[in-house]
Amino acid sequence: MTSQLLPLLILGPFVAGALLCAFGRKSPSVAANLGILVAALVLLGSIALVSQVTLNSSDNLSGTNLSEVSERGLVNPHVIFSPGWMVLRLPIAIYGRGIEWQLQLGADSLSASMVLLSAIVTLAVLLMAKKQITYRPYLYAGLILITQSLLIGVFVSMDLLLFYVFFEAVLLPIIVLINVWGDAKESLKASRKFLLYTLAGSIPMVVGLVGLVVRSSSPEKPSTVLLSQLSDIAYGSQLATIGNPVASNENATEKAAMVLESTTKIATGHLIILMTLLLGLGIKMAILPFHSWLPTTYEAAHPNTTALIAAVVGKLGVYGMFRIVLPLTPLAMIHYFQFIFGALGAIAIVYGAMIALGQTDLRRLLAYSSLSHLGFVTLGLTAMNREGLAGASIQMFNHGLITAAMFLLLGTIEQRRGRLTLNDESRGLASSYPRIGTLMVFFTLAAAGLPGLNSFVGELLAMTGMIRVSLPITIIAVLGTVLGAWYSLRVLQYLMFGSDGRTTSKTNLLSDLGATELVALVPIAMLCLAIGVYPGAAVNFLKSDTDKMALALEPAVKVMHPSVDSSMLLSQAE
Amino acid sequence: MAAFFSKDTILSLLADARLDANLGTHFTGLLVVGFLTALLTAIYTAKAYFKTFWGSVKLPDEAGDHPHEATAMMLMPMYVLAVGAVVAGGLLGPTGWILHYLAETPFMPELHGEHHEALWVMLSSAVIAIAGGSIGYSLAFESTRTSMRDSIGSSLGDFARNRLYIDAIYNAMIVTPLFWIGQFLSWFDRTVVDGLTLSIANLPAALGLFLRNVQTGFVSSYAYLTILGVAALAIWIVWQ
Repeated sequence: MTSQLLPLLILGPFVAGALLCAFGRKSPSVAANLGILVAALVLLGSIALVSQVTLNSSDNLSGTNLSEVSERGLVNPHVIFSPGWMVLRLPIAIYGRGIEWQLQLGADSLSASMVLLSAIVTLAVLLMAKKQITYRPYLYAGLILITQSLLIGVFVSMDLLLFYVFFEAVLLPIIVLINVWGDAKESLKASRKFLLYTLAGSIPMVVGLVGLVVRSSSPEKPSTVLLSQLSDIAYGSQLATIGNPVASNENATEKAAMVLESTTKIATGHLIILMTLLLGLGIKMAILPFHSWLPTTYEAAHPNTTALIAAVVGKLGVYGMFRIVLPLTPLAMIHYFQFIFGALGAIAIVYGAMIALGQTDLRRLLAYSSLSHLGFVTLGLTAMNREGLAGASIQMFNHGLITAAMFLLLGTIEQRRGRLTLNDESRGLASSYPRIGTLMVFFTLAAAGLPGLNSFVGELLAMTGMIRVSLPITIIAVLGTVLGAWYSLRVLQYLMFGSDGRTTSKTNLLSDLGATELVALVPIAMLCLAIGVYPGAAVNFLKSDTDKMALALEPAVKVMHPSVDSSMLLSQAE
Repeated sequence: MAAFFSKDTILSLLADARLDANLGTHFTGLLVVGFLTALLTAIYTAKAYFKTFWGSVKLPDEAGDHPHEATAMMLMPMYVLAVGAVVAGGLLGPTGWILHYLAETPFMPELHGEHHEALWVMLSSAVIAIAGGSIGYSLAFESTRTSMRDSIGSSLGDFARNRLYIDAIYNAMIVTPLFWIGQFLSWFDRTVVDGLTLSIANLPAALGLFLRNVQTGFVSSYAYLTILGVAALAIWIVWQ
């Protein structure tokens, strides 16, 4: 179905943001309120997008039938926007044919969920900014809206070109946001590090993307940048070598060796391309050891800005893995990097948690905690089976909600008490600010993965997926959850409790959270609770698309890593 | 009372299980542990009771001069619990209603007729309860406690007072090392991982620092370098 909503969701906040930046100076407070209004409209639009996707995915296939998948490709947006004028013509020839690339915006359930996440987080950030950002609030609101529009652009791009353009463009407003409203001493250095580090990864990524396009075209086939067509080609070559896994039960060992050889050949052919992609996306997803931009940036930026960076910008890498690496270079990813990335994810969980345990500065602590929880997304992603992919996709959403809320709460605490460390001076905040305390306890428990709250669902699914791929990796991850509970409860113990607060509340007696802040945070908390209590709705929404991908990936995983437990392989479950 | 019947059922079941051919000795051991625990329970409850309600009045400063009875808010739930304890005892022991009810649970076998409470188990637990109670009573008074301490020695008491050192062991074996590792990793992440990253980032600048010296601005030196380059090229071509 064609949806006009897709370009609107990108252009709307972009134009509004640009206008606010340009003309907001005359009446800054009105401008900030207008920003909130626009963000609210975008939220409504994204809810409409989710419902459009839901309606159309039920018309579409449920994605459980393998032959249908091969006909329709792995990336198969339910709503698209791809008019005839969205064509890029270049006088460069690939195989004697000039470039004529059709571009496409589109959304499947994964895109829609991420659009929804960025809409929720942006609205919350702007609401909280009303009290916290005093310096040029109109400019702040404008830049946040521009960031939002570019983020939505990444999530609804269904071709490599637009994806890359938006992926890079997001950096620019973010850099300004970090610099202007961040910590005076650190922000310049931190933002430069962030910019150069991510560029160092994403410039090589261009080479990889071009390589993908060139390799997929042939004298007979014109080149294309559409994800749906590219994934179709990739899946076609996989089917040609592995064959239909449902049918292939005859003479096992000899055939398996042959299949392994030919798949390895394909994988090796894609290795260089994959490595450039992984460098770009891996740095964005802060995979170990390319994570060191993350704590510095989160520490330097204003917590409000960090909320948006940690919740949405930090997901771009993982999203790219879902969109590009898994559907376009699946065999190379499985053959060379599945276990490495899985192990790195599990190590990140433990490593981040251990470092968080050793931190006293709250911003840094939350940064490492965010790093640790992102490990679960990596874990689910690299499991590449039904549970793992569903877990990773739902956890991307959950982690976004929780991290955003945590950093926004940190912002309110810093507004009242300044930069905080976990020492005795700052004890007992809960008695001075009971609302902050309540929300902090709630989100801490949600982050720690308490059953009945949203993180539990995603982390459990991700680990369930991984346990079939590698037991040792899962064991490491489980140890990380224990550490996660430990450091987060330590924060509560030191910061929120431990004193009745009477001795410390002399200075800076700001009141507890006001109505605006509650409007920003309480709905997020309700959403966390709703997903935790009734995960079925969210999981099923995402599963309609992740299952399709798992259906294609799982046989390949089985061929390349025969040790993987296949007792629940999809083809047999059907 | 509720707990008497439930614990006694367990003890008598253990007594029966001693007859088991393979694991008989294990169950004997468990039975002894059960009786010992019953004794200790009787001692500490009796001690706590007599010390709190019978001994000389000792008040902490903040309590004021006269203690008062608890408020209804605290008493009412206590009454309910007390009645519950008696009623549950009746349901469990004489009528056996609770056991029948629990047998509804899947996989939970009902205690059948062949099981009968061994009289000696009941009697010995009663004896143990009385004995423990009287020891607890005597321990409630300072003089006996001192003479006890003289005869047994204070090490057992210390052991108990420090919660069998389990917390301390746990702290030393798990909590502290993990904290240290956390501190170390935090240093490692800042210095080694980030340090390496930054030094790679500094490479181009360092290279520039070195190459900058070549840019002298003198035309003659550029000409000199050009000639050197041309010569090198010529040599290379000839070499080919």
